[in-house]
Amino acid sequence: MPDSSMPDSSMPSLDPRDRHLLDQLRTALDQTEPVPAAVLTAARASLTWLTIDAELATLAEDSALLGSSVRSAPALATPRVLTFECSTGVLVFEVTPAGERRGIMGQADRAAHLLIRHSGGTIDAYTDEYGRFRVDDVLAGPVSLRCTFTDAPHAPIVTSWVVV
Amino acid sequence: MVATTPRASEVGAGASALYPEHYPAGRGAGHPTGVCVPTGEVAVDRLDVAALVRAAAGGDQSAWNALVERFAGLVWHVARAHRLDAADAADVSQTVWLRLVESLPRLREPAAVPGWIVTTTRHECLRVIRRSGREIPDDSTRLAERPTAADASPEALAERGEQRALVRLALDRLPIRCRTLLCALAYTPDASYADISAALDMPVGSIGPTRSRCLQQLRRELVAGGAVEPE
Repeated sequence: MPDSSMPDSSMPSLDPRDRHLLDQLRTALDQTEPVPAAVLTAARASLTWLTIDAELATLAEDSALLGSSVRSAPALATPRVLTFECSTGVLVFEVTPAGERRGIMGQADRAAHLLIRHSGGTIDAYTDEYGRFRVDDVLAGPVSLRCTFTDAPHAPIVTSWVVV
Repeated sequence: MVATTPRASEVGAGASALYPEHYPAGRGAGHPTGVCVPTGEVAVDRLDVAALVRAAAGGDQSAWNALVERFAGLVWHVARAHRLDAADAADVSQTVWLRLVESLPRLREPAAVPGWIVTTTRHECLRVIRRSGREIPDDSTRLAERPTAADASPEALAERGEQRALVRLALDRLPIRCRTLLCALAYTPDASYADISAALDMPVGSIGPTRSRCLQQLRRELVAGGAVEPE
């Protein structure tokens, strides 16, 4: 692996005139439309969700994107199903919208304690003995589930953030 | 008068000294060939980012805040370059920052975070666009969906000498590929070809020509929009 601290094949021939124009562009963007304060506040607060002891399960499949049709009707007609995978497990849940709230129903590999992390805070829940769960009152926006298995020596799983 | 940034004169006068890495050996003014000089702004910048990323991965809130401060505009304006409205751009921003937090303990190349940010932002924008059933904005997308108020017309802005608004309007008239590339470059002018290539899914060989063409188009739009030639 190359030493990442050294610039590799940096942009050659970015002449001063171009650099100046890019500087101007950045100033123009920053000043004509600064990042909204609420967005900055939320971004800073994101670090509180840092977890280092869990396996990250990334989004493997999103039913809302299947078919990649430009029509939205089919995607909205049925619940959206999200599948997350990591080397130690799979977690699937479907999302049912109800105004600004989302119902989440799904299954983990085995019985677990769930921490649903969403824009409204966190919700504690337990799956049944087969790993099935259902949670209402999740706020629309980014959501991530942390899954701590109750009866096995498996590392916790945390799902990648996704907007529901 | 053209609004200038404080760094403009330095850049004009001593660019090769400030950014030696941009100049192939032999073309730089006075840099001995074969000698690694890690004192340029490029190297320092990358080291800074890497250090901030490592500190944030350890839970350092002030390091994290510095990263947010530095790249929030990049995320926001790449999202806006995809024509997302403010609510969608806010969702995309928040998702990108949360994804970066979850990735912090796993990043193998902390210095590559700016490229990672652009990649993730683009992918999230495309996800939002596809889910909403809109068409992915292509090169024919124009400003139609963002109506221009009478007092924000190019003529009115030119009269008031609002150079920055004119630069913004000129950018908004470019094809999406140029908008995204120029946004990314505006916030990370020191990115390597390799970084840009990965972030924008563009072959390394086409970045130089595309960048030149996009900058040229921006200049043309600036002139067409009544802005002062930005020099």
